[in-house]
Amino acid sequence: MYIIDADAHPPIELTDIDCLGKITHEEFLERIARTGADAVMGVPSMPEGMLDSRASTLITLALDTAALSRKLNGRWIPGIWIHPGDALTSFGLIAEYSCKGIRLCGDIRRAWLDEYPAEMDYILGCAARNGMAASFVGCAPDQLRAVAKQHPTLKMIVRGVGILPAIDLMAECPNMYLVTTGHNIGNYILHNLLEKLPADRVLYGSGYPYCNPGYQKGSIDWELRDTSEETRAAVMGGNALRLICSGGKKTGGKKA
Amino acid sequence: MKREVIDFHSHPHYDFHNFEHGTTITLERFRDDLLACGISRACGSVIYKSILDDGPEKDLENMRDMNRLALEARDVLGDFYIPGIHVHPEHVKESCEEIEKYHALGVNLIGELVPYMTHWKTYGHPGLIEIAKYAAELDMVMNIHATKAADMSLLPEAVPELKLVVAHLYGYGEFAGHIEMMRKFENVSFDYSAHGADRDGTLRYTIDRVGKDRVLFGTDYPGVGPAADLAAVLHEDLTEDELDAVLAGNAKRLLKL
Repeated sequence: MYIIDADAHPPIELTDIDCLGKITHEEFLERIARTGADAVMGVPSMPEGMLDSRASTLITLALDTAALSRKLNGRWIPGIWIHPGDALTSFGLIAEYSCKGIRLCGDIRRAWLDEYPAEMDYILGCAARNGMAASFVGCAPDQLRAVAKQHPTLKMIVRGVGILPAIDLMAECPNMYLVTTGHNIGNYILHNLLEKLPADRVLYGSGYPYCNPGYQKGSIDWELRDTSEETRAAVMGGNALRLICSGGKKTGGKKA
Repeated sequence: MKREVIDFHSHPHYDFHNFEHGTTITLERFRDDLLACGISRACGSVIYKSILDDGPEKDLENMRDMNRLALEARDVLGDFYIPGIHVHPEHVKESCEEIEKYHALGVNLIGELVPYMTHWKTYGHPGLIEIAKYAAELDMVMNIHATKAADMSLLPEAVPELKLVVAHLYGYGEFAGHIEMMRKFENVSFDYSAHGADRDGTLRYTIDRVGKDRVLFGTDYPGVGPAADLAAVLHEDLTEDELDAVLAGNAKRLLKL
């Protein structure tokens, strides 16, 4: 089975994990590889000051992201950081890097959708037109529903929304994908509710370096213990690969 | 050879899933799920939802009922299950009677005690200190739910001879305080259950500071998936000796198994 951790964020240089200290991207990938993951997907670890980013930071970060992803040679499916405080630069980066094969931007926060509605609409419209998926973290169900309706061709990768709200949201919004980070911790919850989710739009993720990847992998293995091999392969990597490589078109994924 | 794994922190008769998503954890499922994850034996107290809903006037009755159910679970599950009993600081005499009764039946563990579920608030409660002194006389182990380190420290300060295991090593934003507690009180250990593994490297970091004999593997099953904590321990950079201590050796030593 090819495993993609669809919520992992390598550092461009170093990232600080409180119990481990600063680790490099090679150490990061080594620790993820212990969980059996073949590749990771996500924007790089959030650099200091990212939430107040300026254009120069975004441009440098995108350059570094592209360079590091080439160096890591297939072990990282990268995303580029965007920021609604500089919508024009974000717009330009999406247009430029989508042409260079990067298919993901993020990590969009709840506050960005609240405070910059026009800018986010502009950026997300650009992502949709360029076939770039967008990742959302900790956004409210109503915010996600509004974005999905406004941009029905945008592939939305969401995490931190809660599994019960996700069931309704994913039924309403065929362009929405759920990352399991944190959702698989409660015993028997994903196990029992997976049949209510479109399993071809559920992606395994660990949240590394912000969560413990060993814990998250053990948890998802337990929750998927009674699902078919086909569904497990889809959740653990096939869905992420299809989303990134084909823009999300279904290639045989089935409900659990 | 199969590694021995003792789950120090579990709860038979836990019925919260019935209300959340309709899953009933029977005693057989309790055993089979843990065995399926590679766990050889499980310790802990009975917890069920109605203790949250009942008022304090039912605390004594509930304490006795949960203790009775723990012993019945041992009858059903045999050596697989190591029962923990409840005590209540508002009922000192009755709690000591429960300790005496169950200790005579081979029980050596008190807890996990969960104050917020049974209507008491502080580990400095004079009733709890009196009960803990009696438990220490019998060389019993007490497992308590984590709260603020400053409050939890009141118990080992008053009863330094008590073998105390605090739950949830990393949890509740008090990790640094937990490490400090272990440094200050040599009879205090922590279990790794639920939030024990929220961050990568927690166990290595802890062992480097207080040694391998102060952390016990636990899951908090059925509230939490049992495979996750074990996978998290195995993910860490530990030696074979350290793994043996955390996964089983420390529980065996404390509980005299």
